[in-house]
Amino acid sequence: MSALLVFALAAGGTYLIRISMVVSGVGERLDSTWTARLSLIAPTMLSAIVASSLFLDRTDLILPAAADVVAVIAAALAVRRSGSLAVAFVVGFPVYWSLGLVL
Amino acid sequence: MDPEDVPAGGRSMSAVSVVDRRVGAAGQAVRDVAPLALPIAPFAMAVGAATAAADISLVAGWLGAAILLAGSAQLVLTETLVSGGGLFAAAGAAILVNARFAMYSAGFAHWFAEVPRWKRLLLAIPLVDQQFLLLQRTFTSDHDVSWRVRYYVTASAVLVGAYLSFFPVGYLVGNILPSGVGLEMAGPLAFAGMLGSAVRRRADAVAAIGGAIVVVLASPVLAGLALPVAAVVGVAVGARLIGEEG
Repeated sequence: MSALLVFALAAGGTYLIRISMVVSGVGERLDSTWTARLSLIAPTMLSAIVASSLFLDRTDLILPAAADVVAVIAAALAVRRSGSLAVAFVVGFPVYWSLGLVL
Repeated sequence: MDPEDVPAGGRSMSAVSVVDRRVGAAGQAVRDVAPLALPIAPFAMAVGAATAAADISLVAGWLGAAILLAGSAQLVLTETLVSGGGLFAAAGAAILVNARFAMYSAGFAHWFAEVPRWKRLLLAIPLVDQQFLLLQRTFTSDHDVSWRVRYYVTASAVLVGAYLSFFPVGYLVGNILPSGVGLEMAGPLAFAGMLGSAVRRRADAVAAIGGAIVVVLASPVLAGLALPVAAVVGVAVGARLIGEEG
């Protein structure tokens, strides 16, 4: 029951964030300068998420395993070359597994 | 109506056009979202496995996944509970991780500005990283609002369906898989793949590097707030480059 309550609180807060720009009306008034900036959100957020998963244990800085870093870089490069997101796993996991065996 | 306007199938040209556009939006959404939905499977399994490890029941965990619809936040939430954090600490940590959605919300509000507000409030429920990336890549001024809504709803259904289908699988079998499988790598690999696809210009690369550096340096001080702060700094740095390049 308490777990569900935590999820409900988190979901409620998250939903308020999701609708924040709809309710405030800010999103509808964005001019071309701001819409150009919107295009930068995805690369910024994605790299921040990847970096925190590699270099942080919660809020503590850690030295990541070489296999993790190489697999992540390989996945990013493979998708960039192929244009297919599915390739991230096709390349990333084998790199991770083989380096895990070697290192 | 002139009989010549009605094609062999019996529908008027305008009806055919409407149907085609509907199938077009849904079909394109399925095609576009499939490569994003595929990586969701191991990621959802990782979240399911972490939920099981936190001794949260399958029903509570699955319902939580369904209402939260944010895997990385659910991971943080369960980790906080496991490490002895209280109810509000765990919910607060998850909300902080999801603070980045405010920026996605700006894009969402812009793309769906013509949709009635009550509908937008419903449509915003499944707004996640993958959706934002997909909409940003796909939507142009050529797409009218009804096309966008159909595209978004279809893509959401596929993503949410994949996530909620694989969550219980991870819950049930995730912790009996050998540790070398590296289920926990599913998230970073999926996001790295999306990053590889999202970086197209120098400004994107600069914003990405800025965001990564700030989140790593700021997390020990700002904890969950580091992610939204990194987003603001990264976008600001990248935007300078856009301005300089015109």
